[in-house]
Amino acid sequence: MRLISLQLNNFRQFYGLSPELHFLHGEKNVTVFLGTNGAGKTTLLNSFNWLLYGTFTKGFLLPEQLVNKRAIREAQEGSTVEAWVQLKFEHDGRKYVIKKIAQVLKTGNENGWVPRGELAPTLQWAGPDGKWNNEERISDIIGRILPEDLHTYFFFDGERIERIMQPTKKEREEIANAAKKLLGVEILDRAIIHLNSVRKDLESELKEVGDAETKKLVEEKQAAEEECKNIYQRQEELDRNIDGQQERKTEIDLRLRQLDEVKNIQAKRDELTAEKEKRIKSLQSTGDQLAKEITSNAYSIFLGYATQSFQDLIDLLRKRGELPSGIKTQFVKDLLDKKICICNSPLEESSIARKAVEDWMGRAGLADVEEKAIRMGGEVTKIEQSIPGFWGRVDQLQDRRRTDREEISRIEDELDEIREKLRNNPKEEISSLEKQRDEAEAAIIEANREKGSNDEKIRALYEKIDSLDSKIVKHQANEERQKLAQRRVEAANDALARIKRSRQIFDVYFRDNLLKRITKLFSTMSFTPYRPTLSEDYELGLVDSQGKDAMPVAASTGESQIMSLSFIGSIIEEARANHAKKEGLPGPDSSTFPVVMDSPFGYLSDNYRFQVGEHIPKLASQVVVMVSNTQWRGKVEQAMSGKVNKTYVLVYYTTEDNFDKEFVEINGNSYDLVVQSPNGFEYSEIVEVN
Amino acid sequence: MENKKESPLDPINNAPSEITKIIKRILRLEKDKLSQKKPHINSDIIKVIKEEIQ
Repeated sequence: MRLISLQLNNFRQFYGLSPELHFLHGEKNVTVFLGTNGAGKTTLLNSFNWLLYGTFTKGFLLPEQLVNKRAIREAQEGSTVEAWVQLKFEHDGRKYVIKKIAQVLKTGNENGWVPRGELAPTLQWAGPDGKWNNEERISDIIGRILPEDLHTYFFFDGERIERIMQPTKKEREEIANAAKKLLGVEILDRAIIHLNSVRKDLESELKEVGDAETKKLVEEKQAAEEECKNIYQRQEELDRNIDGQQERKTEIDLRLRQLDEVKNIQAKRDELTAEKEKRIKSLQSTGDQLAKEITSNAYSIFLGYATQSFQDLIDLLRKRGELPSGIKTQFVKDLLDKKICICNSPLEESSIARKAVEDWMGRAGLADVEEKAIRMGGEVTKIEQSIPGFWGRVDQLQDRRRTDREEISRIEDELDEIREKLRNNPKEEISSLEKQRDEAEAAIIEANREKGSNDEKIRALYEKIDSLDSKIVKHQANEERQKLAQRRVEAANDALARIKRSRQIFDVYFRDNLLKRITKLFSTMSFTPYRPTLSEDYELGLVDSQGKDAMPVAASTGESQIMSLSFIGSIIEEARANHAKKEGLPGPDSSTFPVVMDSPFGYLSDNYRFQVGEHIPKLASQVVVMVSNTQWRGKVEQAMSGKVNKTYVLVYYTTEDNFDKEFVEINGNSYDLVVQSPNGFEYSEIVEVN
Repeated sequence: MENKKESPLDPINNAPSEITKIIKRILRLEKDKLSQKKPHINSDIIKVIKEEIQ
């Protein structure tokens, strides 16, 4: 998506028709909007959100009041007043114009107006032939260009970034899916669904033309697949149950926290639960370290016998005087070639002296053995010396595990006591809440148990299906038609398995690539020694990688902001890289992405402002930044000035008599940011800076 | 030495040639109909398989 221009009419504080606000791209890809507080920076961000997705950012107050107050006051009673936003953009060779209107009716009542609602947006597009068409599936089209689940990254509210760093599990799934969708992975998902159904059609054809045995096998397989489907449905149901019970538990905990009689006990329980989770994580991590230690070093303790026989052999050679050999093969060979000994005796063929020197050849061969023995001796000693270290580390890890286990058991005892206390609390509300909590917990455990046993059933069914598949393939087909039908089923099976495998690799590949890119971007912007992490379910985190073990650290607001910027920058980079590949999965339609940011510098210190300011233009193809004068002046302006293509000033007309004058200097000209309203209305105007 | 990581395209490119052709044609069909929520595409896929496996 390449933004061309945005135009507003009577939208929120922007009175009348705004100039067409152009967004350029290329080397200078930054468009800046400068305005004081309340001048409409957040409104501009939300004009994109409302138009494209029908949403507003969290800090956007009174979202039902979209029509400009001055426009309403100036309208005649009974007339309809409109606010609208129109965006022109280009995508994949097409030009688009999207427009959305909100209406109010001017009345004589106290409020002065009643809402008439929003009209459905209109979307028109023109291809290379210049002919304009109306598009009805607007959300589908927009969703494919910039997925809604990712829109908070592309339309970025710098003042409310905590949701981006700490999304819920559901939000994380949505983000991951949307990012993959942007990269074209939906094509694989759809191909899997469709090919699966086609495969069934082809199998039915085979059943029609096949013999009795094949028919039986196919029927058996279909029954197993049906059973699998039912179990999957049950698993989804169980997941919903678990979520529901979990929610119920959280609500009960919240209520208990509010009750004066037990709020301290509940606080203790919260603390213990958090501590227990920490211990469980530590136990898992120590287990992993132990497994790693054993895999890499445990072999040394089994080498005792081998090192002993090596020592015995060397000792024997030494006893026999064969080691050290003290003489080299080459030396003896030279003497024999020259036919003269070091004592000057001639070494003629068949002479006794020659025979005596030739005998040395056999013993001289041991010089090689000696050299190897010395080298191996060193290695063997190293292995032997490493054994106590290995046991030391294992003991230490085992101790840590023991402590964690003991702590978990202690915490569980304390939690049991708390449970008991609450259950027997004389106040009925409390004991009843605790009983309900127990029920929810028991239901969660039961559902998890059933899920585990279902997983096993699914695994067994898949094994059965695989074995039936090979039986069907192997089954002798007599008829030519049956052979052909069988080959087609095999081809569909093979294609399906490969697309599934490809999809599976894509997941890991995508996450790995994304993390690499996030780490790189983060390190270029951040001064900390911290390293970003990305969990399997796309939870962003930070670890301190200075010590031996990477320790999680709590990200500050500034770091969270840099993480979020790194995340979106990485997704864009990955999409661009995918698009650039000629041979590959059918990737995104375009490699052009805009980022619109409201106050992205608010939480950053001066140093960070410079770093972030310098990198923002590189994050996306087009960058639109809304800033206050204080955020812009100094470091940010210095870092970004070479990249700015257009600057707009949001002039705020105030009705206050005593207001602080605020102005901005651009290219040697001074622009007022706040001026006295000439007509008793508060509103804003957008002025282009030449 | 660490083995080179498998790329998402490997399972497709390493397939017998007719399977690679089938997969690429199917993915192209899917991409063309990506803007439709529920495209009717199964008969096109069957056609592809029948054309490639004669």
